[in-house]
Amino acid sequence: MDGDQPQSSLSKSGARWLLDALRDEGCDVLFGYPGGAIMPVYDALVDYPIKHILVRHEQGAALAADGYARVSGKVGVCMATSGPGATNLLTGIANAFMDSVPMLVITGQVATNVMGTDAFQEVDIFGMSMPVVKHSFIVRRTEDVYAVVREAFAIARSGKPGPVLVDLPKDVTAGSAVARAVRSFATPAKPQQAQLAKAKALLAAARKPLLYVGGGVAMAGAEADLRAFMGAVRIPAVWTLKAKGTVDYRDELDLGMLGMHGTPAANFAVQECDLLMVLGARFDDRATGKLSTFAPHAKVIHCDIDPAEIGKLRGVDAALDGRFSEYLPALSQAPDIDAWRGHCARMKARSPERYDAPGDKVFAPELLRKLSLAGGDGVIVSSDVGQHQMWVAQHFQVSRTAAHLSSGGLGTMGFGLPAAIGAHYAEPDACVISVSGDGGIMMNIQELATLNRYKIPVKVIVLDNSRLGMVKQWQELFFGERYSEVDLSDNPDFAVLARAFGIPAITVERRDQVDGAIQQILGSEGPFFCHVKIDPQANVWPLVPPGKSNAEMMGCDYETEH
Amino acid sequence: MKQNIECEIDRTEGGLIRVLGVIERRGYGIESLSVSPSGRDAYRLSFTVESARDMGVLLKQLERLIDVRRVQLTPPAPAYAVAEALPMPGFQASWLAG
Repeated sequence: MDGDQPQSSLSKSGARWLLDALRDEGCDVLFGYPGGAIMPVYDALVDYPIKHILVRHEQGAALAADGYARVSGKVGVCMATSGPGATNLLTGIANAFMDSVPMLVITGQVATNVMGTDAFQEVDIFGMSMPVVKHSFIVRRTEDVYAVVREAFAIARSGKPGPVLVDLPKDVTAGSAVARAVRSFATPAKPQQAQLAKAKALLAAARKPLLYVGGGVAMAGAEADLRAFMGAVRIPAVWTLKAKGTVDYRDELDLGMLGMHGTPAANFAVQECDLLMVLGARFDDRATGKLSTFAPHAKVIHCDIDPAEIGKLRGVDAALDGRFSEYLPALSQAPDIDAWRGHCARMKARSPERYDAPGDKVFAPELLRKLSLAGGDGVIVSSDVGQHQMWVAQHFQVSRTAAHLSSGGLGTMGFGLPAAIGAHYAEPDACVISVSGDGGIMMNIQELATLNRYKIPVKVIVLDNSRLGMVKQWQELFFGERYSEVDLSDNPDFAVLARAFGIPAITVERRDQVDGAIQQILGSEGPFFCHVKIDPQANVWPLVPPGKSNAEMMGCDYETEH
Repeated sequence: MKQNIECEIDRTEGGLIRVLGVIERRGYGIESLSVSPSGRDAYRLSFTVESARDMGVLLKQLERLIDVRRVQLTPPAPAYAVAEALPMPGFQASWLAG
């Protein structure tokens, strides 16, 4: 807690103590939507220099705070009133929880004397959100507001980060009191020396070691530590959706994403390796496929700040639960693995990305690759969930983790646009591109009004195949082509819709229009909307069928050397 | 597999529900439970849980809750379940063994 205490011994309103705490935490922006029970806070906000972004739906506020946190590395803050305002935040809270994103969620609540009486706009958001928060508070005394909010920030960002909810009854924010002192929190313990020695021995003995890199590395601010470690040990690496950009894509050791839509090289390297060093990853089912067949020959070193992840799904031979920067240097002895490195490089060379799809319809993977190459390192890309999300993960190159925002754990359609808004406020000079499908864009389409209100220069790209593409792909492959409720051919004219929100828009229908469109997207000054009609039959390849081993990839005619 | 677990938690709003929620949500069934005060600002919980899942994982998932001060596995209760019948704070089944 850095010993920070309230800077004033005066009596102030709870609303002012809340905003004092935000100011003292360095919070420069919050995303929210006012309403009855939170009105004392919005009243006090007029006197504070904190920037408030008025979204058009509370879910947009929570997801924007999530995007802000992912890019800035700071705690994202969102705020809503009681009842429906609070329940509308829930999806965004769950999204942050599943992806371990530090977030402070402030909800108004009815006054304490009517709590529990089914008062107007009363809902037990504390109870409803309990399974999807790292921690939560109901503040029942004005004197506690400052300390609780400071503690909430500390909890949100410590150890494995996550969302912390603070429920503020109206009489608590309206009433006045002198603030109580702030408690301190312990920092995580250092890794045990015995486990470090064991990990060192496992690395020295391995002939086919592999790094399995997850989102925890960048969330710990250890991207540079990992790259330095890879530079020293020269062990090939695979990565999860959340860790896209953590491993340098220009490094020959980068074998790509593993899992359901991963690269053949990544998945087969996992199947063959004799040591898997797991860094900030959690054996998610989309990464492992059928768990009992995952990395069948490998011993496991699991490195994670959260001890509860160690051994949750896969037994380990050594566990390290401290900070990466504390132990990666001690493990930086290069093993003698020339043959394995060569084998991995050959696997990678045998499955290059291909962009030569026949026809003149827009081939989404090619568009995304071209866009990332044209945009360069200054681009941040966010996506929704579905086929386009996997195409972004496979084909949009980024040079750092914070440049790729994706809803990994919860898989939240509608994440892309609000997350991009948050990303803009974290890095106002970056070129932020939001990629959605025609399904997901409609889930938070109202945030186009937020883009227009603040002239946020997010570039919105909608890859439109007139259907829920990923569900259609699964129905095609695994449900005997029985298509059920996936047709979206009655979509609105997206370009007209964007213009109605005051945002310039174009529509792209043929492949020969793509280069010009990319120039327009990147050359535009303010918000911009590009509606792209893509081949409706295109699927995401390769694919590990659900419940199958990662060795059973569909859509790749790939054979291992063994 | 059955296991007895004992933990001490802060007496904060929602603390008890949070502990029980994690146990059930993470795939462990609560067979018996006793709650008693532990000083002015804490509760002591003793419960028996059953699951095919690893009890060590549950322990770590409880440990990471902010309200939880300490948590430990305790020896299995004898067949006649005195621990359930006599939920005294600090009671140990071994007292009856001799």
